[in-house]
Amino acid sequence: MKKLLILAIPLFFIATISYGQDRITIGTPNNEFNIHNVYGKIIARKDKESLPGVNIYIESLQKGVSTDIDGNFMIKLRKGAYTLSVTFIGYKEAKVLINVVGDGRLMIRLDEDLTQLDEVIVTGREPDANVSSTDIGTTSLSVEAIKELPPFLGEVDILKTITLLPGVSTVGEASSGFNVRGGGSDQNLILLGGAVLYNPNHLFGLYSAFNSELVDNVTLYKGGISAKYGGRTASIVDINYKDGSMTNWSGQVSVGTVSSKFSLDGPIVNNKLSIALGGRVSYINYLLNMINDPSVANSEAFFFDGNAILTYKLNDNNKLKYSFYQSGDQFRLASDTAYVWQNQAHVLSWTHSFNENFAMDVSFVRSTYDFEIQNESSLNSFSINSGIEDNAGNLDFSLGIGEMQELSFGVQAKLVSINPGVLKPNDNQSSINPKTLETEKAFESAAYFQHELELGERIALSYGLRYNLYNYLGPKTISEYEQYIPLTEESKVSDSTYQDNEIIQQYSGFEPRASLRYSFNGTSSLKLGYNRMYQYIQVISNTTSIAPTDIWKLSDPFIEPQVVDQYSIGFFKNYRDNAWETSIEAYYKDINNIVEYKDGADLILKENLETELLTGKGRAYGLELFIKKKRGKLTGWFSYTYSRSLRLVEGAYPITTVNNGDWYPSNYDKPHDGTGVINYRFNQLVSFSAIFTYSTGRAITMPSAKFNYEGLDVAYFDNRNQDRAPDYHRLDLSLSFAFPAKKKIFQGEWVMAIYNVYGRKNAYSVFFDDVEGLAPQAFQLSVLGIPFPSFSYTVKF
Amino acid sequence: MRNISVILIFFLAFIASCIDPLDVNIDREVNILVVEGAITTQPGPHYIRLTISAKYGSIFDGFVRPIQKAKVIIRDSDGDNFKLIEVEGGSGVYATASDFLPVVGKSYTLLITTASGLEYTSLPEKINKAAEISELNAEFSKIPLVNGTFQTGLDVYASFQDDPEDKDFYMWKSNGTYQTITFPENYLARDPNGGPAVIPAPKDCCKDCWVTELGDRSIRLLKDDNVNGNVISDLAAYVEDDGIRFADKYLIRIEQHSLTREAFQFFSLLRDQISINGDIFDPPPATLRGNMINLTNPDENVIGYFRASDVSIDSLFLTKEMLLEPKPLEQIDDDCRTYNGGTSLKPDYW
Repeated sequence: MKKLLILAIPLFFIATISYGQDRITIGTPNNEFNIHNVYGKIIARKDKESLPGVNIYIESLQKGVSTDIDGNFMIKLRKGAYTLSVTFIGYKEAKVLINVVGDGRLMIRLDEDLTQLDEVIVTGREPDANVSSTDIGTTSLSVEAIKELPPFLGEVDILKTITLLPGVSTVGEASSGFNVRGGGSDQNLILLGGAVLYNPNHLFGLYSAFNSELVDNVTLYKGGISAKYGGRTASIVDINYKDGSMTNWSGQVSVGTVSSKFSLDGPIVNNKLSIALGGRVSYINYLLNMINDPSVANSEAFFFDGNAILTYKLNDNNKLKYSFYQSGDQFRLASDTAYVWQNQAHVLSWTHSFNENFAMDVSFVRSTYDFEIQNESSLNSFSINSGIEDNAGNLDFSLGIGEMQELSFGVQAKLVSINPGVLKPNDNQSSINPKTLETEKAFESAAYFQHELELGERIALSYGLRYNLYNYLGPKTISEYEQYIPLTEESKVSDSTYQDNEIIQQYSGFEPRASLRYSFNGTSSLKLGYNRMYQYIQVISNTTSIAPTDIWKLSDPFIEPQVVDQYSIGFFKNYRDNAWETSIEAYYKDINNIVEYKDGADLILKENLETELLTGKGRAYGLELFIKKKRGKLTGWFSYTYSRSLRLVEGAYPITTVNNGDWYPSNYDKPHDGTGVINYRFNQLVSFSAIFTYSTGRAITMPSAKFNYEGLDVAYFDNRNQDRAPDYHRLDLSLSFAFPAKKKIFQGEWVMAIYNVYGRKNAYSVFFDDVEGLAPQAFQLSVLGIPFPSFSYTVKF
Repeated sequence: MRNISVILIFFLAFIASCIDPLDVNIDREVNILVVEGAITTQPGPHYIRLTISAKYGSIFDGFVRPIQKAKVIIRDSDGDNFKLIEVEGGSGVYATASDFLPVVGKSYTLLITTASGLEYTSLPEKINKAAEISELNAEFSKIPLVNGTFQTGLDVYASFQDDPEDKDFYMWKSNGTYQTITFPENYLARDPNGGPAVIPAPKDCCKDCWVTELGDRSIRLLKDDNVNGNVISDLAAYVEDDGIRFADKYLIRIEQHSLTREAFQFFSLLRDQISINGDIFDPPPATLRGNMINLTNPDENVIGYFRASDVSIDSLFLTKEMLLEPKPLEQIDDDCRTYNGGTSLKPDYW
């Protein structure tokens, strides 16, 4: 290993680095000059690539340099002996001992540090996990990897990053939520530190409602979902908080053009109790007030969020963790109507290890979501409050059986109550009568097991079963309707009143889950997956996209739970020692009991909501390609999805039928969807990243005719979603500079980003209008149709 | 709730949103009957307009054709038939006899037989009692526009006692009369060789005119779900200060129409569809279904609603003083009869 060549200028010095090596002499003795130029080149041992941005530091002089784009560096040194510390992300640190006697050159080879790299790219998973595990339809991302990508409107945004993955799409810029494999955005279970997030958005979907700084990693399950998870039919997004450090304090402050945030974590009691805190606040308000436009300056748009995580390590076998989350939004624009919403979550968990192989996790989770519309008009002012309260308890066990098997099992219970709306007049002058809709309540419980086992070298199997039991509870008044005619307020026959906690309706079901892996060799595998999912709470929305005014509705005697069966198959192959991951996956889904609404349905503050609703079926299928490069200066991924998402609402009467009883594309059906993400690290200090995304325009409805009414030309629609909005595409770029700090007290980083670089005017919606002075025609509304620059500066300490 | 949309447009304007015409090619075309019209307890004649829907696109693309030579009859719940006569001019408008007076409590059905023999009928439409307007009052309104200016005008509110017994549905229609004061002596004629109007050509008449116009286009509806049995005060009309209307004063006439639930549903859906403007609170496009049925082909939709309403009327003079920030008067240098169909006959109530 130790191969030293010591040659005079202009010969090349090649130094092979290992621990405890000999000192390298640089140059030929030269008494004329005291200061000498030491030239060097740093390359990776494995692929001989030169490494730019490598730090070379001399502790005794407190002096350092970095390599240039070709991996070269030069440092002026007096005669004497020095130790060069060579550090580069993803590589093992090297200590090189040199003795400078004259001008000279040396070459340093660095060994890759695989463990460290994996921390950077993917957290908590083996580098070949995508091939070797039984996971199908699962993607994990670390926040570190997400931070490398161009920020969305100036913010590192975990949920927006998820929409770049195959099988995930979004309707547009200001639409909250995302669609996974043809499912609605209410079919995603978003768990923040274990708590359900009912509204994951700030500012109507422009930003995610939580601070990425306190997040460690996020996993998206879109198929082959473990029996541990239930309650939503399309996907689980499991966002894990990081624990505060048990040994030292650190933190960061980030100042951006839209918002500022901070995070801080460290030990309260060394190695016993740690805390992590984070907060974020927007100052769009000030920006709005600065704009010289009365409609904008009189507006208000404010959001904040905060988290606190306490981790208490009783001993090696017991850990207690408590997390708190709060978000708030207030939105008012040049009018007398304000929208206010907030999320709150508490999670208390106790993790106990009985022994090396057997662990238990007990958790209590409370999450609430409140929404309010405040109207302060001079006449008839009012407020409407609505909300969700979700209290859950979980008991989960995991048991390792030998090297080859793992069993997890547990029971979960939750009590959900929904306040559908309370209308209150704001003052005595208002002629509004107060109105309170009856609260809905349900108790949902489940028991599950999931068994993972290796069957020899090639086959692994993971199977599980979840049994759920749902009780829709009183107090509540349930109406009965005449049979054989559509449900309307007129067809109501009588009312039945149920007492508190009396069971009004019970549903239950088995949810089998299974996935199978067959390995061809160490680098490729074929996987099959099946899962059935139940969902007892759905969003009823009659807006084109998702608005916070949407109504959550529990399954009741009229609305049966949504049940989805998904079948999936995937081929996974890695190349170059897991540096490249590739996969191709296909899926088919049957969706039952999707809630739709009648044309012109009136949903706000509606008693007997069932009279406005319809139920239908859905099916979705697709093919997803994914190529990811995980290591090297250039990292990133490319994904392509072909998918369809279709609906069928076939009622007995015209008013209970949609699209004449034929299959029609859902609002978020976008057959082609491709995304390319690259990150190029010039050196340790400077990196560049780009996102390009393209998709077919969403399904829209175009008029079949126009007619003249009340003096206007009005569009007539007789089908649904048979046409397409223009294609969506967008390029985002970002450049980040880190300031090197000799002492790690203050490390600063600038991020400059441009969203929608070439100012594509993507259609947020297409509508038809008869504007005075113009022919009746189609219009498109685009949100962020110009390049949107943002800057942020982050200091770590 | 609709002003939410306006707000959001403003916000989206801030974050760089924009609305552009979109060139779409629609190759579908559905030609179905459109029925527009109402009978009320006010003196007639009452009009029903029949047209055919046309291809959506530019004005050249599809032309909304009237239906002529149809047989149109209104039948009341006593079984009496009233024939409607086609109004000359070929616009597809049919009028009742002027002595035809619908009454509260009866139901009416519209029957149509087209020249080609297709038969249509409405569902029976019952006339509910409309509450009497007890008071009208006006309030100054100032709406910021995106370009930084303001639109000002008067909101006219109708107050009335809602009947606590029944579920009531209301619609407001309005019309107004105002005086224009012009300067015919300053009239400039156009240069016969082309170019701008620069040649003084004073006219003798007329300086004072009265213009009668229909109210603004908004469909104004109310259901008493949240205000049942109260003294209700709700926006019934809006009169924009355009710098001409308030030369003297403005007489606003408010008609308060009773609606059936089905009529309310139709007109609120129509209103929602008309108000679609691309924001996130927009309702999705919906199929408009009214109370008309094609007897020849029951599966075919008929657009439109045959409405029968009781009406109570009240009027109010709006004065310049009510405008807190009046616009400067625009000067019209012409015979006042050339502006908006004005007449120089002074109404006797003026």
